[in-house]
Amino acid sequence: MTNKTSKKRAEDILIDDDLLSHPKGLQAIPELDEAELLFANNIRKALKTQRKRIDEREQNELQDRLNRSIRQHQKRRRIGQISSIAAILLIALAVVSLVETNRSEFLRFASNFSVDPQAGQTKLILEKGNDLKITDKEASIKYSSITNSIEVNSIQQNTKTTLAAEMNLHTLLVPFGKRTKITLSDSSIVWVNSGSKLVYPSRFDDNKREVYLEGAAIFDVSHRADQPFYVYTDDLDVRVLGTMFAVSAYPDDETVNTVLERGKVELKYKGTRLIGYEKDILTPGTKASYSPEDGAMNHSQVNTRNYTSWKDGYVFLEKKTLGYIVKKIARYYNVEIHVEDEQLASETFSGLLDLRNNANQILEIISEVINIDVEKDHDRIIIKRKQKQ
Amino acid sequence: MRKEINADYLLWERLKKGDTSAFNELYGKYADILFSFGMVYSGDKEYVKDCIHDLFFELFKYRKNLSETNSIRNYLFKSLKRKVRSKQKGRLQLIYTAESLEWNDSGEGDGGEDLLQDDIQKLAKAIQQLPERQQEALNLRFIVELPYSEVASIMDISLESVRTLVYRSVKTLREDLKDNQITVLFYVMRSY
Repeated sequence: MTNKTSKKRAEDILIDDDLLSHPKGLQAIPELDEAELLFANNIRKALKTQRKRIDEREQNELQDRLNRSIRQHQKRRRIGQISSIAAILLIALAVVSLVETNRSEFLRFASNFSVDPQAGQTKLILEKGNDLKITDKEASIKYSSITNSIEVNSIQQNTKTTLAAEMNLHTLLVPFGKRTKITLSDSSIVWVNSGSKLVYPSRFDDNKREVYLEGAAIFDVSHRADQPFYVYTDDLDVRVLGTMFAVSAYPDDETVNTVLERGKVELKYKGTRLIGYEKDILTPGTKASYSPEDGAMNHSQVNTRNYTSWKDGYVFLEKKTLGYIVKKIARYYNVEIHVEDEQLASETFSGLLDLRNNANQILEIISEVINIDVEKDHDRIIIKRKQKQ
Repeated sequence: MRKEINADYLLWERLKKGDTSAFNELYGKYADILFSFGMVYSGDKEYVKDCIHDLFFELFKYRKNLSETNSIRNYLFKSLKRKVRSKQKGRLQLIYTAESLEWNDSGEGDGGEDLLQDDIQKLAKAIQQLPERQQEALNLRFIVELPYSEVASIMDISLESVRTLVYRSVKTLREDLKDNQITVLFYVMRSY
């Protein structure tokens, strides 16, 4: 490569990869002219000093920012997918005349077991006091009329129990901090939220499908025109054909809320009548708030996502106060959270919370966005306004 | 080199499947050099960071549509160049600063610590008189220290053309600096 007879100029040296990558450096090559070599070397070195670097801190900051962008993007996409599915499945169904039900009998049975919000386990009570216990935070239960069994799946356990031949009422009790997705024998899916009770038959009757709910659940009901689906709560009944909706009827909440994502449901409640019942049809995108206390029923247009997103593991918040958000997190995770500053508690925020994180992680994410400090005091989490530095 | 391409290829495959850890590995591997590279085309640090953010974010967003490539490295350089230049239409912003010498104090022995700031400023001035393409080639080769083959690919010209650009630029510098009786770079030879 090198030529001893003709003098190499700096420019000849600097365009020669072989010379530039000489393991001992340019000065180690004896046949090069000293002055040219040094000029070449110095240009190279002078330029090298001009390299601008990103320091480690900046590099990490940029990486964090990038990962935040990606997470946000993924969540946005997930919402997009859910709503497009909802739009496709939106089916308007004719409401058939009300079939007399054995509601009172059903309700009497439902009062046999009550949910203990502080219990550490989700409990599934079968016939003859046969109990299945689930310690995991999330579980999925599936009734299959084909294999004639109940499958319980969670991180820690996978069990299969054979269904009794006769029809029995089963009770699912979900304490605070846990959730269960249950597929009923007609393949309707119910997501049962924290602190809730669901009572349902192991097999549905040929003419109708009935369940009882206390607490909050989302129903995705399979369409069977000749077999209407009823959700009973203490104060209000929902009659559906094939649809997706959420009901929240916690005994300590003042109102029973029904939110319809798609399809059509009919609500039946006492209302202000002395005798008989009032009926209401709910249209998609509407929330019906019923107050059993004074019989008032209010309909409002809502973003249904706000009420159903917990089944997908996140909560969509739209201009909610920190106090509200914290209460929700506390119920969902069964933790005690205290906001120290009242003004702070009334500040509003919007965004998505990924419920797959634990309560601490969620609060950490929130504290990244707003100026709060999250402290832990034994079992309590305390939220403070960040001290100015 | 072969080995590195293979490692990149595997990263690429994982990325296409949506593996975020592959994505973070890729970022860790290239963030530093991409930043230095971007700064050849813009003097604005924050702007270059924004461009790197957008580059990686889009890479993730459109990962499913990414074509097969043997060189992610090359893809990253070319995309970043396009990004940096697209918004700030026009010229290269080659900014030479004396302050960037500072980091070299603790650097490896072959840095520029034995060069005087003043000399570097003079050289910088001379470089800024060069045609833009010559500056680009020179900077990519000696500031970012990319091999000629990569510089050629980034500039979309042949290897020979890159060498010619650098050849001409160094020749001009040598002559300019001599003509102006600036012994700058000859002066330092004492230090050897």
